[in-house]
This record gives sequence, C-alpha cells and structure tokens, in this order.
Amino acid sequence: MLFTEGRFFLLFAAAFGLYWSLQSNRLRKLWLLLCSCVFYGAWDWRFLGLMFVSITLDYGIGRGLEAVKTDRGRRTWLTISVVANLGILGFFKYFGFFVDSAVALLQSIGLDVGARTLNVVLPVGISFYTFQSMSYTIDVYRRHMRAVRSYTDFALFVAFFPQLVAGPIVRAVDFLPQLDRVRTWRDDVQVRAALGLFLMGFVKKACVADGIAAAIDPVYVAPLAWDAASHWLALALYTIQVYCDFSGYSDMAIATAGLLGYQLTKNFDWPLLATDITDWWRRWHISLSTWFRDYLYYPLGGNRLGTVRTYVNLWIVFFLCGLWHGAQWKYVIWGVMCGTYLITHRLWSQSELGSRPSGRARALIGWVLTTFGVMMWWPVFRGLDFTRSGQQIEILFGWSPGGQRNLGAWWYAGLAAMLLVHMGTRARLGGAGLARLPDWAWALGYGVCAALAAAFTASGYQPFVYFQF
Amino acid sequence: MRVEDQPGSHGMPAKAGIDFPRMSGSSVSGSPARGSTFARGAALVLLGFGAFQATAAALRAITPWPEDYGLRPKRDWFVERKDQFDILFVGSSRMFRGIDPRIVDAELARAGVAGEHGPLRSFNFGVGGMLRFESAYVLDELLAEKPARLRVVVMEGEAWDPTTDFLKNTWSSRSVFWHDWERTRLALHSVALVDLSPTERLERSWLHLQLCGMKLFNMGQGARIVTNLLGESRDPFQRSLTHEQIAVAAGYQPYEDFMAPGPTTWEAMLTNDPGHGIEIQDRVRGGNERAPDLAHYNVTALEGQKARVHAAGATFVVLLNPGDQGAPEERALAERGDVEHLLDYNRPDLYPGYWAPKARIDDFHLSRTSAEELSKAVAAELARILRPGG
Repeated sequence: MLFTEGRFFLLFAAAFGLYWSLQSNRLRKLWLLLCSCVFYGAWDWRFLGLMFVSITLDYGIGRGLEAVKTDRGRRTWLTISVVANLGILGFFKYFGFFVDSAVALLQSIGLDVGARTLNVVLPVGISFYTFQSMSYTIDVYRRHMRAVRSYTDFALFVAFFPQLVAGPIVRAVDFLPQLDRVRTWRDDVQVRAALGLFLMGFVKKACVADGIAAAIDPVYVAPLAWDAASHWLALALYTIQVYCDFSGYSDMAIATAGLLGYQLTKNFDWPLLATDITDWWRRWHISLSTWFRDYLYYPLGGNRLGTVRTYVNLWIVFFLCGLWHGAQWKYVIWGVMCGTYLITHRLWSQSELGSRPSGRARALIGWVLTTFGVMMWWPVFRGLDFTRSGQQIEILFGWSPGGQRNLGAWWYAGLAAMLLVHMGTRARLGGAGLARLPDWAWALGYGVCAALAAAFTASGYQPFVYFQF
Repeated sequence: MRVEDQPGSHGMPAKAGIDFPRMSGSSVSGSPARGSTFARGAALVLLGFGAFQATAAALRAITPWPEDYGLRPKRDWFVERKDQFDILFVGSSRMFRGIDPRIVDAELARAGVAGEHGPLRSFNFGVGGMLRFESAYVLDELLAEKPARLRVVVMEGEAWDPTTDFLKNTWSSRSVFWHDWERTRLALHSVALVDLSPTERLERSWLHLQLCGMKLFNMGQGARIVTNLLGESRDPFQRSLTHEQIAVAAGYQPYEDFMAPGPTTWEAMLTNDPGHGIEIQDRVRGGNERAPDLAHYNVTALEGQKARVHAAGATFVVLLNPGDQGAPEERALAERGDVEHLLDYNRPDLYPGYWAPKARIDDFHLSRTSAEELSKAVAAELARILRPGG
C-alpha cells in the first residue's frame, strides 16, 4: 500500500476519523496498531508474523536488560538482540546474495558446488524496522532510556504505519515518550503545515519522481542507444528523481504522523544544495546516517583513535551502509565509493589547499564538485548490471560513441526549473505570504493545488524506490 | 543524565522531531467553543473539497479522449460529421477490420433502402481493443451528440465481462476514460454476477473503483492535457488513421493496409499447423453448443444500452463476427427477446468460408476479401431490418 494509492487514503481516513473520536489513549494506540497491521499486511500478511517476531524479541530483551543488574548479563542480552536482529535481516535479505556470491567464487576457481539457493522473499521495509527495533535495545543497554513496559507501545513504535516501510528511522527515545499522553488536536496538530507537507511530498513522489522515471528508465535499459548528452542529463535527472522519491515519501510520512499528533524526525535538509560530500551526508537520509553514526561509527571509535583509524571507520560504515541498501555488489561498490569520497574530502579539507578559495566561490566550486561526485555514483547505483553501468560510463566520457537517441531539450529546462524550485523552497520564498493567508483562502488554494497535483501524476502507480532497501 | 531522573513512563521527554513551520491560524482549532471549532473545520474541509472538485471538473472538461489506436481521431472526425450518418458500427478491431461501410452503403442502395435524405450512409467506429464497457461508454458519448439521421446502431456481440484485464493496459488512459459513474456501476454489477472467489471479486471491484477515482480526479491526465493544448497529441501505438484515411473508407481499414501479409498470417499459420483452423472451428462450435449461462450476463447493462439507442430513435442490432470463441449467450438473449436483432455469422457450419485459409489474417481478424463478404451479408440483413415491417 503506497501513500499515493487510493486505498491508503481510505485507510487513513478511517484511522484518522476513529483515532480522534476515541478519548482513551490506550484505545487510540490499539487502533493505530491495528491500522498499522492492515497497512503492512496489505503487501503480504505473512510479513506481519516476522515483524511481530522482531517486536516480541526486542520487547523481551528490553525487559531482560532492565531486569539484570550485572554488566555481563546486560552484554549478553544485547548480544542476543544484535545477533537475532541481524540474523533475521541477514537471512531474509542477504542469504541468497551470499550463497550466490560464494557459488560464483567457487565456480570461478573451477569448483562446481551445484548449490541450491532458497527463494527467500524479502519482506517490505525489513531494513528499516530492524534498525529501529535494534536501536531501542542498544539505547536501553546504554541506559539512554528505560525499557518500555507496555507491549502495545513498543509494537506501535516499531509498526507505526507512517514510517514503517521506508522511514524515517525513528529512535525510541524520540517516539515512545509521545505515547505517554493523549495527543490533542489543539496542541499537537498543525493542520496547515501537515497538509501542506503531505501535498508537497505527493507532488515530489507522484509527479516529479515518477515523471522523471518514465523518461530516463529507458536510458538505463539500453545505454548504447543514447547519446552522451542524454546520459549526462539522465544522471542529473536521476539525482532529482531519487531525492524527490525518497524525500517525498518522508514528507508524506511526517505529515501523516503529524495529522495524528506525532512527530517524526526530519530526514532530508535540502541535500541538493550541499557544498561538500560531508555536508551531503548531513542532509541526506539523516535518520539513517545518524543511526550509523551513533550505533556503528562511534562504537568503532569514531575519530578519536587517530587519523588512519578514522578513515578505516568511515570506510567500514559506508561499506555496511551500501550493503544495507541492497543485497547486490553494486550497492557494496556504491558504499565503498561513498566512503572513499568522504575520506578524500577529509584529506583535502585538512590540507593546505583545502582552505582555498573561500566565500561564495568556495561554495559554488564545492557545490559543482559535490553534485558531480554524486552523479558519478549513479551509474553503479542505478545501473541494471555492471555491463550496462560500464557502457554508460564509457559513453559519458566519450570512450564509446553511444547512440543517436536524446532525451529532448525540454528536460534541460525542466532540470533548471526543478533546481530553482529546490532553492526557492530552501529560502522559503513566498512562505510569509502563505502563512498570512486566511484559512478559507488557504483551503480554496489547497483544493485547487491538490486537483492539479492529481492530474499531473505520472500515469500508473510506481513503487517507491526505497522500498527495496 | 540518568534516565531514572526523567519524567514519564518511558524515562525521556518527547524530543521535537520535524520542525513544522508555525503559521498563523495553522490549526482549525483555537476558538473557545469545541462545537464551533468543529463546524469551522468542517466548513473549511468542505470549501477545500469544493475547490478540488471544481478544479477537477474543469480539467476533466479539457481532457482529450485517448489517442491510443486512433480512438480520438475517429471520434473527432465523426462528431464533425455526425448528421451525415444513418448507421453506426461500434466495436473492437474485429469490427474495425471486418465491416466496410462503403460496401454496406452500396448494397443498401442496390436493395432500394434509402432514408429521407437519400442513400443511407454508415460509419465504422471500430477501434482496436475496445471491449464492451468501453464501447458502451463511447456509444453513449456519440449518442449524446444527437446524430440527427441515426437509424441503426450495430454493436459487436460481446459479454459484459469485468474480468477482462484491459488487454494488459490496466492503468492506461483507455482504461481510465470510460470509468464514469454509470459505467463503473455497470462494471461493479457485472463483478457481482460473474463467478469469482470473494478475494478476486473484491480485487476486481476495487480495481474498477480505483479507475473511476482516476477518471474523476483526472489522475495522470495532466501531461495529456498539455500535449493536447500544444497540438502534440499522438497515438503511442501508431495505429491511428488520419482524417483523410477515415474519410476514404468511413472508418474502416482492412488489415492488409495496416500490415502487409507475411509469414504470421492465418494462411501461413495453417500451412505450418493445418490443425489450427480446425481447432478454432471446433472451439467455436463447442462454444455455440454450450448451455448459455445468462446468470452471469449483465442483462441490466444490455437493457440500458438498448433503451438509450431506442431513445435516440435508432434500432439496436448485435453483430456476432466470425470469431474464435462460441457465443451462446447472445443467441439465447435474442431468442428470449432481449436482443431484438442478432446478426450471427459466428457459425462455421453455415459460413465455413470465413475460416478458410485466405479468409483471415489471424484468429480474430478477417482479411480484406472476407470483410467485403461479411459487409455484403450484413448489408442484406440491415436492408431486411430497415424495410417497412422489417
């Protein structure tokens, strides 16, 4: 069930209507948990069982951590949690990948092992809720929070439907306290802001991202048929597509939760305007990058153990970040590229040259280099296979002539317009005027914009890019 | 900071997440009285919904008909000349490739059947992939134009089958555009009639409701509106007839003019697989002899269509093309009077020539010579119907 589908609107109308008409906080939470089960079960009801295994496991481990007093006992509980969570994730997401890779390796040295792989179905959103659930036990272990007593509360924290399948990855310390008291319409809901954010997310996903996907998908299917200019344009457009796809989903998730009186963490902060690659990762998929920072990079020692160790830590973090994105070698390579970029940037900024130039020129050069760097990882990340990724890179740099087809001049104008809109929204152009509008004018304008957004969706439904992770 | 010191059962205060910009009047709440707050909120929701509906209606009015397979050019051409035609053939590519209006008109003239304005003229509104619900919508839209001389509507005989998967184009504009309230209601009625599991029934109903929603909210039609305004609309399948081509044969085009006969034609197919032709004929025979299952036939939809044709002052005729499946339901409906005129050529024993090697292009479509034969036969039947007392 996607946020842009009709059945989601029906589910949300039911969830919203009954939620706000119930007075009891306990009943409200039970109702939201039921709605979350319906939402998740719409993909495949069997996935629900697996999710509740994770929920029950970490709930129980949380209680166990609370009960034991010795450090050794607490470490044991934490180890069980990490092994069990990563074991589940590893089996459902990476089992086939590792077996296939091992078989390929053995075959390459002449050993035909004839291994059979299980056809394991990947449950939607498993990477997101596993990380979310695991962060809870780590936080309890670190005594950053107490173990939750209510099973319903913990289940709702993991399964809360606005953020269940594609984030933002919510921390227990941020979300669970919100369940303590009855949310009130007056104090906890900002209707105009939430509705506006939902519409913006809808436009990003259904109009922009899906529209771009329809145009550039053929470039990745048959790279040899397209000319070099189209390949460059496709890379730039894919940057916009993947941003609008994912941040659009996050916007809708945050807005949906906001209409129910809950706050989710910000996931994007205008990453397309980042002026260096470190800045990019501060702005892109913030809930994931901070998760890796807090639960992996810091425990590895962060930057406290010397320069070399810092680089090794960065490299490990992004290697695993790549693997988190998908059980394919291309994501691993992409992760390694990201880590290498960051290390290069650190080396550069710590050198004497790194302080020059300064001011606006530095920001502009930094933006160009960052954007170029980001675009250069897409042939690997988006490519359907390494052969076609290689073909695209060869055409991009003129090592291969490429084909005759081109994407059309309109897309250059569209790209420029999208960047200007991105900069405009960052500067909150028109925001003050919008805020001053009386409610009746705002409602009228919203109705008109919503109808236009519906009309300008790309035909047909397309799954969110980030659901596969 | 020790968590035991924190208030709340979870040990931590709520941390602010997303930084929603504060706007004046950003909540519909705020007035002291709960009742008036609710009323104000409801009024704003209604206002917003009204603006949404009004904008959607305005966009719907300028949304062009789908170009796919030449639907729109045919409609535009016909509407411009709607008062010139007496007979209208509506159906799929089997109608499009199977009936030549020039021959029908000539045969009717030779039979001495004419109208108040002189010789009768017919138009072929067959369009590739146009199944029953879509053709019903198209017919209603054409009737709404009030063609002044219309005397006969010939519909291709086909069940109101809601399980057909839109020729694998479920979300295309062609699937969306006919899902108005009336057709969606008919489709849901058909879903209730056909033999499906509860899950399939629910899924099928939901699919039609979604398509109806897409029609009402113009989902995904914006790009088509813009390209139409820019004059760049075109058939993505490149099967459209130009207005000149439509004028030449009044909407008809033999398959051979679209695609030169090659090794994939029926004749070549039968050369490679001589049993195929016999197999098709046996299938049609077997289907025709099967007991009709009218419990699953949406007679209500048929009655409604017939009534609308009658209201337009025309006679309702159903044509069974020589096909690849039996059609006992239409025959049973004709026998009990629900179809007043049935032209049944789907009988291999009576009309074996339509299944001869040179008679077809493939399992579904007739060749040029067969289409000419069928057109003559249909014209003879229409002459009988149109004569006084016919």
